Amino acid sequence: MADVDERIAAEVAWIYRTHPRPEAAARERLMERIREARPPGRRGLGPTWWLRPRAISLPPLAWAASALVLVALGGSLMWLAPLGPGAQNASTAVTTAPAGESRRLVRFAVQAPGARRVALVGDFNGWDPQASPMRRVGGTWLLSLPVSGGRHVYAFVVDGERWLSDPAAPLAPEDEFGFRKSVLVVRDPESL
Amino acid sequence: MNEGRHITRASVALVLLLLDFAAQPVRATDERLVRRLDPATAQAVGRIVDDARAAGLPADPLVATALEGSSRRASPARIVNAVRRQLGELERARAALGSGAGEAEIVAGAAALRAGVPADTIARLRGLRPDQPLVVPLVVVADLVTRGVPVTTASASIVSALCAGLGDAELLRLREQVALDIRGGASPGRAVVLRAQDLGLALDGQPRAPAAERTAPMRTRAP
Repeated sequence: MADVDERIAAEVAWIYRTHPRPEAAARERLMERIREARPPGRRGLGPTWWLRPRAISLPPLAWAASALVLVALGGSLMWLAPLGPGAQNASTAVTTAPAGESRRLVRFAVQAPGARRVALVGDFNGWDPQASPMRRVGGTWLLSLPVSGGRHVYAFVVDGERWLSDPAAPLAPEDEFGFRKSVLVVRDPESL
Repeated sequence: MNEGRHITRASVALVLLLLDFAAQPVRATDERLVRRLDPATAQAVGRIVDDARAAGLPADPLVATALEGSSRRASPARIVNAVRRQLGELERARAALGSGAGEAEIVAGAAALRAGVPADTIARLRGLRPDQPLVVPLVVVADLVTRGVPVTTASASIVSALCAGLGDAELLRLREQVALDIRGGASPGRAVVLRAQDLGLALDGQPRAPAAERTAPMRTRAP
């Protein structure tokens, strides 16, 4: 427990060192600038008019017509455009991060004081040692990562060579590659 | 004449569009495998993944296993064998858990089978928790067996815990305590027996009566 406290303390200290607190007068200066700012008004069709978000009211029939035009335009562009590697990459990105999937921020930590670099690998990042490098805080390596609900397996890769399981986590049985991965269960009401 | 050409173009566009939609899932999987595996291995793994999809089994864990093999620089034959074996475990796990099992349950069940937990134990756990998620009990029993607890002891402790109505948090705490005991030098089997006794669990698969009820008969006999 004391070990965990020390780790959290080190992490908090790091955050405070790297994110300076705002000055006490900063809020007052900000409010002053807001008060001085020009009230919104009609400024014609200058460049800012095109960049500012606007709510557009249309009757449902007009929405339906617009949607049809957009679908027709998309279909013709798909016909014209060749299916290159870029298109395949786009569909892969959608597959790995489905819209609406619930994810939770999971904090991973491992003690490896002598390591030069540590990476997190797991089924959530394709077991890619380059994908999720961890950050060193004292002798501890930390990383927070959003992970989808369900059962996941992971490990730490030390100095690009040595694979370590998480001593605090449940173990999975030895796999075909001779390694016992750590198990993470992320709560998700839909899948668990 | 012009109208006919427009209709032909529209038909070609429609066919291409349909083909593109039909190819999406296969191409997405292939892309992940092709980037990390040699073409023959990617194709062999892709076929197993397609079989899993056709059987309604989780496909992502199979892809993940192939990618893990690539990261661990395993030989192509070893990667394909690992994925094929995992597909078999997923099939057996779903058979034990029932067709209504969720993806995470099937994957956790497959890991428990690999650890050596019998399929009928998994089916029994399902029977004890028909409507609640079984992921954590399966993860815990697999962990205990992986740490050296005899399969019968580990299975009995989790069956007994579910009979007694223990929740996921209590199961995870039990696992953590047993792991600490083992790390401290205790024999794995003995560690589970002692921790189960602390929780009032009997390892014959039946819940032990709460402590207050167990002492009641003694009090009545005393006078």
